[in-house]
Amino acid sequence: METIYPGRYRHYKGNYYEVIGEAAHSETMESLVVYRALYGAYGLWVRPKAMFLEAVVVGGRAVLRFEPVISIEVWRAEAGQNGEGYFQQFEVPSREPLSVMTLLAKVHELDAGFACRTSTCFKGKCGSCLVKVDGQETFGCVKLINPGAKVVIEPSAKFKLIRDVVVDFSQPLNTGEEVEQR
Amino acid sequence: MKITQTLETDVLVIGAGGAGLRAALAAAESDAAVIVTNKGPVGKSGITLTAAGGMQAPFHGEDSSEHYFQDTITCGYHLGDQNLAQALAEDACARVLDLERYGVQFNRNGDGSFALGQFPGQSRPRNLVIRGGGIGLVSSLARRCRENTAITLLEDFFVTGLVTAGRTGERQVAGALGLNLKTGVLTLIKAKAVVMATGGCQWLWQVTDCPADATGDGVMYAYRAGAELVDMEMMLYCVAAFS
Repeated sequence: METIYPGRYRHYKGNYYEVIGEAAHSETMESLVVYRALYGAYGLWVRPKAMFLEAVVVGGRAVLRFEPVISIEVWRAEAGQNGEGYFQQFEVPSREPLSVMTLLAKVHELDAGFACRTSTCFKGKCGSCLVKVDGQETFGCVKLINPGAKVVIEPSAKFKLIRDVVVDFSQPLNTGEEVEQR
Repeated sequence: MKITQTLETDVLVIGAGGAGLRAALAAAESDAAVIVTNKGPVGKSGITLTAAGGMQAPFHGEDSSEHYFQDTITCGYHLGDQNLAQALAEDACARVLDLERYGVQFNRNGDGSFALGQFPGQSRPRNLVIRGGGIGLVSSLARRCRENTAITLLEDFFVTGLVTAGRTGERQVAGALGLNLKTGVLTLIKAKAVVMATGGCQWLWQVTDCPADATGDGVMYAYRAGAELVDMEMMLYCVAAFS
């Protein structure tokens, strides 16, 4: 059966829940999902896994009862603002792990003003997808983020910022670290 | 959107992969002023970087350009353009030596000769290995271009089309229009000659192992400007696995 990723899920009625994990029923060995409401009394619930994963019909359309979402906090900065900026939150529903580059493209779909690079070799080789993921310099095309997870994406600190998460690779910053020039 | 910047050069090269950077060096060596544009950062985007770094040239004592030509035509089921295959076979050794001059390193044997592997389809060992693969190739060529004062690299510059000039019926390509992605400035580049050195269009297919840059922009611009395209059905994939 499908993997249950821990983390944030959206109920089809709009409320959010945090999945804590999978559990087994001590008497029947049935798989259960343990989760907490992220509203009201923050109640703790269990539900059979098969039922947790099923689709319900709403207005004639099948939708997931619980859909995992990836929560993204992404750096926004105008050109020429020299480090001045802020974090903006986005949410991308996905039942599969997605690469950081895919997430950035999805953020761009949600907000066309968001600037990110699009060149992707999908092999972690070329290097133009360099960003900071949860504080670490990372090649975004090969870094996968699980459904339900939260991720913070910032521009690389090794090069001069152009806008949002895009840096100018022809202008390395003096970070004391050796920067590979190609 | 208004054109707010105009640049002029002798030779405009569109695309800074292996082909574009090599063309830029050749033009600069013939005393031309060169502008090279690339839609991503040079050396950090494009298709050449993902190449494994094999290159064929008939250096083996029992090999010859004739063997190379015959192998190429035979393995291609006689579909290949024989003029192109001949140019490839005859010039390959000289081009390898050019690359060495530009700082590209090939694997060598203990006695200093090129280390040659024999790949499927080769009747003699003919495969040279570039150190660092496609990245090794591009980074050496890019370094040479950056050092050359006759060459201006415009990185993060997205060409949006070719421009033509001249009387009806005699129109010729006279440059290109493009967007400087760093500044948002729409730029006209006037050039006496334009070299289209952009990549393929593998992203026409839903499933591909090619980098996301392979969208065939240059092929389309050339076609719109009146160029004749050949062998568009010959799409290169390097398939390592099926599932």
